[in-house]
Amino acid sequence: MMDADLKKLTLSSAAARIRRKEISPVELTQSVLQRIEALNDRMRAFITVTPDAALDAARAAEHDVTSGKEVGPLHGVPISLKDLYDTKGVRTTAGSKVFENRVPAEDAAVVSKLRAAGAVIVGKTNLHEFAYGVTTVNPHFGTARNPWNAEYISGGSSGGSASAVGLSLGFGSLGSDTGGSIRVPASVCGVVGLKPTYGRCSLRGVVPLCWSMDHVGPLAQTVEDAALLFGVIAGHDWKDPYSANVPVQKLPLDGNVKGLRIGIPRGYFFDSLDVQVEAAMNAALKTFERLGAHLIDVELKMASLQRGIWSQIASPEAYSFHEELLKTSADKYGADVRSRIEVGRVLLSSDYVRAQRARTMMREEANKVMGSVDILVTPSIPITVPRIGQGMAQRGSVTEPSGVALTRCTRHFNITGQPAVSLPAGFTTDGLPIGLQIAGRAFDEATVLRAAHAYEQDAGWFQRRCSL
Amino acid sequence: MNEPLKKLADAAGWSIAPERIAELESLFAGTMEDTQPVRELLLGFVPPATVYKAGEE
Repeated sequence: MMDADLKKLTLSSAAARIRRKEISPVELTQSVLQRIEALNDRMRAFITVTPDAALDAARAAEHDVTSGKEVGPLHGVPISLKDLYDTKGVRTTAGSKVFENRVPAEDAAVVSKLRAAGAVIVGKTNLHEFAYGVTTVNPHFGTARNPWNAEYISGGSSGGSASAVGLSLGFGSLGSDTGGSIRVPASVCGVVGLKPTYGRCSLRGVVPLCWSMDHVGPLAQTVEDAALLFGVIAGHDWKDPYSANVPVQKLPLDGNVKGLRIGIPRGYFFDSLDVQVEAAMNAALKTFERLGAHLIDVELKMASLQRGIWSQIASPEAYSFHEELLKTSADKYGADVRSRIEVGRVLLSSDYVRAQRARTMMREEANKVMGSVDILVTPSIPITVPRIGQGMAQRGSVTEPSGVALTRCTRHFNITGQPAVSLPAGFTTDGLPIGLQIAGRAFDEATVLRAAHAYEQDAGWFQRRCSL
Repeated sequence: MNEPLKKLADAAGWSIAPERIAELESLFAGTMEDTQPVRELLLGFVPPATVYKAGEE
């Protein structure tokens, strides 16, 4: 299959065409593997590629289709996994030399679900080491680069997954999100990234960063594709103590947002935006209005505390996981991540509990606001995409570290646990993507995805693909 | 070394290598600054969040 034909396909269309026997899973997988081979040395989207296993799975998928067997929703479609999902017999590094030779004996729970749905896993994607950072500048496995311009970051921590999807190195990927690690890379790479509700998808077999704010979810080219992946991986797992036993809704992507009440939290999320981001947000809000939604200004006063609450919870939890590893392997960590983790050692337990109490207040405030609106719309990030190595970023009159700016709008929803998606909402004059974030009520991914799909189909940004 | 960091590191049984002190001081100070507004919150009878119900309304 030619690259141009491959890039026209989405996950949903590829799956449909495989079911109709119009595309061979083997040929599709070979084409994806060839693109990985051609691009990965430069773009560093993958840490490990598994061509033999992928082709074996593709051949089995092809046999099932041609013999008329009932097939799953992802049957024969090549996808990837962030390299912190355990994969049976395939090393899972979490982006660190500490786990360089770690080969799990079992698949993570959601990986088993993907395989049962027929997915062909082509490899494990690059990430910020141990998912603790937003650039995917990885000292051990190279820097995952932005599909639109390789001099810019792919975001993080799921930068390799977003880069892979943006480059058509597979039709979807699973990432993880503790402070924005699905939505930030989705935004900067111009793809769709969904962080489901806390507890919606099993964390079993996923290397943790911070148990009480970790989420897993999909990245894909379109909202329909992200919804398809979400539908496969969502659901209760009694072996995961954080998994919620709440039925998964049907996901009708009917394009209808008439009468939908959209909350606009202007006070914090829209404060001092980069001018190009601000223009894209205003245009997106007008689109929603034209489609029949009602825009309502809302206030989330607790949002300005997100950085303090998040850090005070994430640092000690991360340290707790790494405490034993640091005793034996401290020299194997990258310098930035090691220091970030070690700070968690000296934060006070009373401050950790205080942050969890503040988290209750933030959640109660969010619940109250969500009683008067159906979704919230914000920028995914308030700045344009930073260059690799760019320390400081500008938004309006504010100059701050890029990492601080990148997570400004996303962490709130890790603290509250609400579902949130990032999708393309335009491009800068430099040709780099701008992302829109839609958040919803807990366990109401259906409304979040319906609104995202309606905007996406009207705005049409998803049709633009990178030139590589 | 920054006094609060020194006290906390001593209490945690952590001897920080001299060449890493400056970086960790800076990170620690940044975290203290970020978390100060949370320390100033009036929390009254508000209980901690329960992770098992973190996403539930």
